[in-house]
Amino acid sequence: MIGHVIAGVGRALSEACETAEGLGLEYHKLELDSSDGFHFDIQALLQRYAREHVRVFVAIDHRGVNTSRQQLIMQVRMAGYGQFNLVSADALVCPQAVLKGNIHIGAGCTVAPGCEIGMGAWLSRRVVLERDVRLGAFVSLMAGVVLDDGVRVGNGSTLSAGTHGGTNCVVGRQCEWMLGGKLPANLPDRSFFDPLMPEGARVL
Amino acid sequence: MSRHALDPLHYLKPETLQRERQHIFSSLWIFAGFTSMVRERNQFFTRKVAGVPVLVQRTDAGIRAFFNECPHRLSAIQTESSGKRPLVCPYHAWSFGAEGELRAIPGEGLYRFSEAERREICLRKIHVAEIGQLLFVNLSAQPVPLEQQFNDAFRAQLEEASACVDDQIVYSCHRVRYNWKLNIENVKDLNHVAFVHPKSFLPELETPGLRAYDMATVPLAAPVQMIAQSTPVSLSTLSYPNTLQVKPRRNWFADLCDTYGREDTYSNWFIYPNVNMCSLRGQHFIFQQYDPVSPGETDYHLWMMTAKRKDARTDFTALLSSLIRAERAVIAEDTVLLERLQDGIGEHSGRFMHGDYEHALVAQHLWYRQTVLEGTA
Repeated sequence: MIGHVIAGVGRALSEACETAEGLGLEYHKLELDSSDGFHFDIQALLQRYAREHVRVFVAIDHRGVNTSRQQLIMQVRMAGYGQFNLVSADALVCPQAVLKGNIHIGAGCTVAPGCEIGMGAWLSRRVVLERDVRLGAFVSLMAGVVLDDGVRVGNGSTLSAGTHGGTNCVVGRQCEWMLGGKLPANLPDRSFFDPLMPEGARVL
Repeated sequence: MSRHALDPLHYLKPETLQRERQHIFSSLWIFAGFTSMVRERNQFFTRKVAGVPVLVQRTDAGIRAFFNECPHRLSAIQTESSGKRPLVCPYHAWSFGAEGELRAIPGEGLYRFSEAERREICLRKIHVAEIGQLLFVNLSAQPVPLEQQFNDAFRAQLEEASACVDDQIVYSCHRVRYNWKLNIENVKDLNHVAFVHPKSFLPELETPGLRAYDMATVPLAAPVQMIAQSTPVSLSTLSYPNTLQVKPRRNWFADLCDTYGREDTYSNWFIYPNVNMCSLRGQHFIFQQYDPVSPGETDYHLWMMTAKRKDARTDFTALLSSLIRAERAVIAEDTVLLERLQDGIGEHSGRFMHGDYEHALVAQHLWYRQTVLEGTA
């Protein structure tokens, strides 16, 4: 019998556990330690759970343009653990959609046919992905994000609550759009927008 | 007995900005960017310098700067803020060579230029100079010698410090509603930190407020004497370094970089007219530039980077995004204050009352009076 471990920290960990409970999934909750809030230690996982007996879901929010989640998922995989997805019982996910592992899809989400969701992506509540949306790995979409047909979101990017991406718009890699509302048609790689920097900053 | 050297209306008047464009931004060396932004052939960046569109590009001849304007219809040659493409105007595809000389005009027969006219066609060059990794442009046909603007010791420091600057750079530009001069004056005034940044920046400092100044070296009533005697001020004295003691702290990323200087030092280099270059603990760098748009509007350019990474494969994207957010939070505190200050200035305004610690600022005002206003206050 393979067990399920949800390992992580903070709000993401609580949200993942809620989703698991909604599914009636039996799981072990593992709160991870970090000295700086970005780098996490998996010693507790290694000591308590043999990789042959469990699958692991990593639940960390979008800190560090999602690199914390990326690093941790990679550490867990390198340690030989299998992964699982957490798709809420209240989500509508088209069976043809491709989910690439360690993906959270929260309550009220809709995922249309033709969508591909990269490893480690995090869809909070009421996220809507219309047809043929492609999410890169380690993307975070906060509550109420709506992406129309053909939207592309690059690896490690985050879209804040209430963001709407119009048809075929493109979000680059490691972007942070924390302004909600309508996305521009093209967000260059490694560009950051928030209420303090509504005009944006970017890595040159 | 005056402690006032510059009429506040010069922060408001369009005629003053016109004079500044002539005597400062078209005469002095102005910081434009970093050599790392034009590392490869045909790599370029564009920007404005006090409203003038400037293009900096690496050509086969090296790093060159031009007015970003095609001689045909004055269309921009490069339309993106940065990129990599040859010198070809997107409007009618006129192309230019390494020194801005005309290469080709498609459908040349249509234009019927004489041979003499054709020989004259070229991009207008702008003088460009490098100090370490820093690129400066000078819009004047006859630029002041660089060493007249920045003395040998200052240039040597810029060269040394900028050698430690990494080439992974985060950049933002936002518009603020105050005169550009208020910002360079604000950063030279360390006494404001305790009052404007009590939670954001002050906790970093070991020597806050007036204790940052060595008043023993400042003559009593220095501004009064300088103003009374209309002391001549040389341009090179307006750019200078400054250091403050900060609480030593080794950030996690410091081990991944070749850091600059000491861990307990906050270094500033005030690069006249409009740049504040800083290094916090030698672990990361900040470049702020205040570029005038109108008398009451300024484009605030901000570049940040860590000290040079030991390994170019280290990706600091996440770090840079958090560093720039922290810096923008500090800048936002200044912005609230300076926008209110600007908003309050008018015909009714009184005179400035500079304290002794502000002697450098008074010197700046005196130079400005002598050079920009040609003797009038």
